[in-house]
Amino acid sequence: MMSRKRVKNLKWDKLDNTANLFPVIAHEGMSNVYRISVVLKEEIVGDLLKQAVEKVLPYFDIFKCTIKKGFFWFYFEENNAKLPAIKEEDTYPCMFINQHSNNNYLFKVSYYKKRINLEVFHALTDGNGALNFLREITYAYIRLAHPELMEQVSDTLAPETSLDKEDSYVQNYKSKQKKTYKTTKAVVVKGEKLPMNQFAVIHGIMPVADIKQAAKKYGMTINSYIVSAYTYAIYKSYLHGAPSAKPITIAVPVNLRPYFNSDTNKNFFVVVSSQFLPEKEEEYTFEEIATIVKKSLEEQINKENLEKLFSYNVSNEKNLMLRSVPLFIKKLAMKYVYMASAKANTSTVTNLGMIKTSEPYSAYIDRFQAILSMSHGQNIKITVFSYNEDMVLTFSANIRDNDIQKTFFRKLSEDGIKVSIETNGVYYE
Amino acid sequence: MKCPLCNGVLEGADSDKSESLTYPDISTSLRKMQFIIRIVVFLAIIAFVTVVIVNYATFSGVYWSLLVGAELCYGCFVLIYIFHERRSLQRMIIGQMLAAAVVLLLTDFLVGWQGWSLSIALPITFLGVDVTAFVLMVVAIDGWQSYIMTEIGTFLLNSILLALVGTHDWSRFSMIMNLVSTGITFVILLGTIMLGGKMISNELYRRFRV
Repeated sequence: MMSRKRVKNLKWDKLDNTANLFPVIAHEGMSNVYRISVVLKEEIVGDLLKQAVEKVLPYFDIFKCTIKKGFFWFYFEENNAKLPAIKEEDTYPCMFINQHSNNNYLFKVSYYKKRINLEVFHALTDGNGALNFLREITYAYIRLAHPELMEQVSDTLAPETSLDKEDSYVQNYKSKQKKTYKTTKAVVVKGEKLPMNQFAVIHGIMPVADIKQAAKKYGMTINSYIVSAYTYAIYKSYLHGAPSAKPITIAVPVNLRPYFNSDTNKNFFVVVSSQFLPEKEEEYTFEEIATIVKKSLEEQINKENLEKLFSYNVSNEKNLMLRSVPLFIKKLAMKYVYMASAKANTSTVTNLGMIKTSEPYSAYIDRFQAILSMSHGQNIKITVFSYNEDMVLTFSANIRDNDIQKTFFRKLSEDGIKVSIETNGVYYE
Repeated sequence: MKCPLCNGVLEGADSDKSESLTYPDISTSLRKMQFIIRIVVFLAIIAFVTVVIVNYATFSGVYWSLLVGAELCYGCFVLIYIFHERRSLQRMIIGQMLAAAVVLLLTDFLVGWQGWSLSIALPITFLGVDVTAFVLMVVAIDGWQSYIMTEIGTFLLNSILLALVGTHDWSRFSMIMNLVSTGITFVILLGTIMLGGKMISNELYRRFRV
């Protein structure tokens, strides 16, 4: 007797509040895909990496899915297709992921020399959620590459890995908040664009201790120091120290998990902005800029303000009248709001913090790094990742001119930070 | 070898070549398909301008050049929408159906509006798409329930056509064609809902949840 193939009900899930935006605005020129990578101390073997991903993926529902379009909302549905090919890196980072040519998956895994890359469409999760997944892939890969480790560790997920899929925005929002996103136009860094999809990457690798000391010298956190130095670099090299009617506004995503006791793998962050308006004719010093930036960020990064920021968006999502609007109209409205608020930021600095890995895996891992793709009105961005004693600060840009990066790293060197540089070669072309 | 920031010469470099040691060498190459599309659109524009000139010079009451233009647009649309940007099978089918509907209506209008597009061509087009979706449902198995949206769409379009034909003085043949087409799409839709069970009800809930 032939056995019948049982077609089971597919699991599904709603998109979180932030995720609803990305399928609306993502396209070839603006992928909304970010990359996080781990650099090991040995060359990657493609077959083992494929096995590692196949082993880990079934545990992570938020990655084992595809996006579907409903009449009112997008939603996720379980994806049982086989994994797309895991191959050596052969394109620029953060390219648009067309799910129909990726077996309906919204992430990609590739490798090059000693590096494993995980590229994720932002609707799935943010950096913290993606890091969970990448860390488990790395652990599984290391176990496969070094079978002798099985005497020390079990072949399962690490205890520190979270599989929580809670929509923490909905769990923690307070209803009826006023509009919080800015629409005041900021300085836009313009320049000769690189050909479409060509992407310039510069990694600056520096000791955490050095940058900590430099930040302490100015009486600020590492994050504030980086944002200040970046603002300073834009002011000096792009504005040439001249006054401007528009501010230099740096968007800083803030991970909400520590504030609201969440362990979710879905998106859970809000964006605050530091604003520096160069009003006076006389050139500002770095110290003056740093004071303004520090005050701007400190005023915004507190639980009450962060709650207000996402509660407005969640309230809109819960509003029955707005919910009843068909998706094709919602898309137009969301695009309009996005375009209006996109030019309110000059650039973005996203700091994924200090990553910890467990033994015995740490001995095989050199560092982590991340790359952000471009968005409307932002032609240059920074991502920061720290691991052990090193911090990797990555510039990603789609413009040819690299004066801002040069000024930024020179400032860091002046403050006693020893930086070594790696690039993807685009600035050599 | 030079510094990527200041273009200064690097001391102690192993190689004379300036290239990345940690990223693959990706040279920008022209995407063939984009080039082919540009050639086709260019030729379509040339062809359209040519027929407009010929139509003008030999005008005898029929704007046949607009018809040619509509067909050229349809061809370009199929090329760009279907082949260039990868989309799901359903979207490709629906996209082609809607584009074909526009071309059929325009053709009927340009040759003197006899109504054959509403009474014959469109019902057959919608019915054809519905049957295609049904076959794909049977064959696809995995994800078959997602074709319910195509079935709902074609049933609604047929219903609108039937209402249009029913409220005007169309021929008996037109009424029968529309009734048959609407009836068949209704039966397919009803059958899918009644026999689809929990999977269809889940699919409808996910698609239409507010």
